[in-house]
Amino acid sequence: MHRETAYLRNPEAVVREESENASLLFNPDTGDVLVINATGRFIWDLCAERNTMNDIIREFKENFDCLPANLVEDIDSYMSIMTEGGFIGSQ
Amino acid sequence: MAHSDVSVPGHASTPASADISITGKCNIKCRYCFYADEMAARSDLSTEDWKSVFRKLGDAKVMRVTLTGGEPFTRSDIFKLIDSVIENRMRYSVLTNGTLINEKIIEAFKTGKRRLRLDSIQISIDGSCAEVHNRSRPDSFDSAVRGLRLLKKEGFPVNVRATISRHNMEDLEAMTAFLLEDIGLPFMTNNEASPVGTGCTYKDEVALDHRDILEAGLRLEKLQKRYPGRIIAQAGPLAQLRMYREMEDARKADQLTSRWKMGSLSSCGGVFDKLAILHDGSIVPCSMLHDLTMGNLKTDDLQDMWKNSAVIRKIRDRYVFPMSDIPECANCEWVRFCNGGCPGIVQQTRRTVLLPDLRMCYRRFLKINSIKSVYDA
Repeated sequence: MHRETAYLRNPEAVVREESENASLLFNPDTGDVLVINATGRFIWDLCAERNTMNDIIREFKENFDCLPANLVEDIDSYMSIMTEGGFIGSQ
Repeated sequence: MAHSDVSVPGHASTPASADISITGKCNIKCRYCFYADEMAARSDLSTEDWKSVFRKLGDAKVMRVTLTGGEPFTRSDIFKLIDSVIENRMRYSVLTNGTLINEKIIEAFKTGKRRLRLDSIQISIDGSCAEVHNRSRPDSFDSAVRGLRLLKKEGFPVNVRATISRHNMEDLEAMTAFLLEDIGLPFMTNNEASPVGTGCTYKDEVALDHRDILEAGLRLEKLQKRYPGRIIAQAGPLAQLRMYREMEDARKADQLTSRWKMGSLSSCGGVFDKLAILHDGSIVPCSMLHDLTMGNLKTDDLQDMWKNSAVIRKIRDRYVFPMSDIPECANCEWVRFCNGGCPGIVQQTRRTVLLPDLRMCYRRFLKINSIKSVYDA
């Protein structure tokens, strides 16, 4: 993903709370669903407003003390999947 | 009811889907309509009331609704209701008798996101010809098939449900060929006529007994071999024989299947992720449990009912209710493997959900058919 590209939620997409650690994204235009964990949910919440990948990485660092070494790859992977499923879009 | 050695499965935070009877009106008087009594006893919600219901479902993050009736296309405002479903970020399916589908309706489906959000339209066809189909669904074959062909021609996701009854037992092969070869459907589904609603009134005329179940099930199994992957059944003779074979296999291997919780009243998992709404806004666990009202969406809170209603909790608890606690089942050699059948049928026929559906009883099935195993048939 390009780090300076801004991302925003698809306003049609729905998020369901399935359990304490899992949410489910639903794209009603395609019927696609995506189960996300707390990392994915944090990204999803940030995409309520326009945020670049750099913004999202910064938010993770500001909000969590203990971050995995492969944080950037994790975020990149999540955002790719969310983009492909039409749950978020880039501008 | 409490059983310390088992626990009821968790349910979704809100229902993922809902079956919605948008009207109690129908243009056909079918011989086995399970909803017939309710149609007369309740009144339809207005357009605005339905819009309010769909807002509430959207707020609860319901993902999919199935619009049914009565006959959904008797409502002149059906596309206003469909647009409300879409506005509230849901997908939808329609269950219809197909007779009112015409070019105007096909065009209306092409507006906005109506087609994009449509999962499927299911039409009920019960025979290969008017003579057979109309026994169950009077004067409707030609118009139903016309609607089916229109949807198929336009590439809509249309499928057919055939309800197996004594009216069409002799027509299974011809009906399957008609639907899969002449019409060219990729697949068809089937179930069976239940002895509830008008199906109770005409029970002797339509309902299958254990001998009929065996005969129809075996013939449908042959058809499955002729049309691999194209005949699907979650209920009815085909599903019933499949279940009996699994019971035999489990007993022989002394290993319980994971497809249901053997030995408990566990046949239905629907109440863990879906519910139903009747045409007056009443909430029920399932449209087959239409007399077990949890509340009404005009006045009550959906999420509160979903979590706290004693009615739905009782149906969920049923999932772990041991069949060995039921006197009529306690000494049955099959009690460890059975699931008790559909709670809706039991409720309608025996006025409780805590008993088995005797039409599903394998012991009776074997005795009446004078066989020792379904594999002997």
